[in-house]
Amino acid sequence: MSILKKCITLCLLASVFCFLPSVSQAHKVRIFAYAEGNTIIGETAFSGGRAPKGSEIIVQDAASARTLLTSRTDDQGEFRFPIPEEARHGHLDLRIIINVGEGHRGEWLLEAAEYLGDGESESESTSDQLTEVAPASMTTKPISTNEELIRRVVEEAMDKKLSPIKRLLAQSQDKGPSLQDILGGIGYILGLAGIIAYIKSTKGEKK
Amino acid sequence: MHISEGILSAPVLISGGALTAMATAIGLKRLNYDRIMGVAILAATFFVASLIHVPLGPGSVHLVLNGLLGVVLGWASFPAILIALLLQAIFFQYGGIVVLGVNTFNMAAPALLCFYLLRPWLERPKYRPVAGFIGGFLSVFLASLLMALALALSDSGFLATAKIVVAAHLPVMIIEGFITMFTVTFLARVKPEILQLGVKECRY
Repeated sequence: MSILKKCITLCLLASVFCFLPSVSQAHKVRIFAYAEGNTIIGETAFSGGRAPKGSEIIVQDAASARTLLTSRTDDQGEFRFPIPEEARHGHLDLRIIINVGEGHRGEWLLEAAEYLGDGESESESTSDQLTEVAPASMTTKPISTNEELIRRVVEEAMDKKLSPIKRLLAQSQDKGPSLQDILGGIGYILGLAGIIAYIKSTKGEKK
Repeated sequence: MHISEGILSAPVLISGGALTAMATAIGLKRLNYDRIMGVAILAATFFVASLIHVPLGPGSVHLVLNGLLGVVLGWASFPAILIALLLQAIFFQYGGIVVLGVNTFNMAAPALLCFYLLRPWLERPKYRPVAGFIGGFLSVFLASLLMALALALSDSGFLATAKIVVAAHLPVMIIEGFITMFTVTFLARVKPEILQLGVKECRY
């Protein structure tokens, strides 16, 4: 009976802890980055919302794990750096890693298509083709630059409009542990204890 | 307190895993039938304690309660902490499956040490509160040192890492000291058989 009572008080305690919003903060580093024009902007936070200040940011080529550049977060846990030339030319997927020290680490994969924009890489190649063909047909050139300009303006505007949505998405992806998780975990532990008790009890019978 | 995945080197991971596996086997073997529920309840407490965040200090730290587990459970704190950490890794993404062995060892080894160090003191009512406080404080302190050691063996210098980790966990050490102190004195008064006080041959 006393064990049952203890279980109940424990479950009650657990649920109290979950309902205190400031209390149920976590211990994981969240990182998320997006491109805005020529710079990559990123945000980091501990799951509870506190910002890791002055933490090391490492930007790697995702394929070769070669470090392209390092940076640090500011007081708000944000960081920004220009897109590395190397990455732009090689169309490298970037793995952005935050290392807080104390064994905490988070990473975010920013694909080349995402920060270069498909449009830009395509327009580059088409304009290359155009310059090759250019002497033959000079008239197409002004049209293509116009098109490129419009494309760039639209892209920039889209980036600006979409960045809060991207941010929201990243934040909603990372919810703290829910009540189900916590109660589920406690249930698992008690269930495992039951299994162990069962195994031990059958062994005892044989003796 | 939980080391994330992808930081530690392979030798550290393997040796941590091996040590944890051995100690867990010992813990399970010594586990008395009557104690299983008690171990499970403390494992659940440990599992939930990590959600209680301490907003002091430079980093983001939470309660660990390995001292309490150690003082009460002894060897059984290895399986208890292993299960709790596994579930934390699955449900909360704290730590990870690969680093499970190292994380378990980092938290359970100091717990076990505190058990052996403080048992004689716990027997005597006069020293019981002090022993409880030391249990809570020392186990987090030693766990921080082990964590710094694991990090240091993988890359950065030990002293620098240890300073950061210990400083970050200082508030937790003090808080856990008090929590363990009150819990132990309370248990000794209300249900002394949980602490197995006065029992010559501890079965765990």
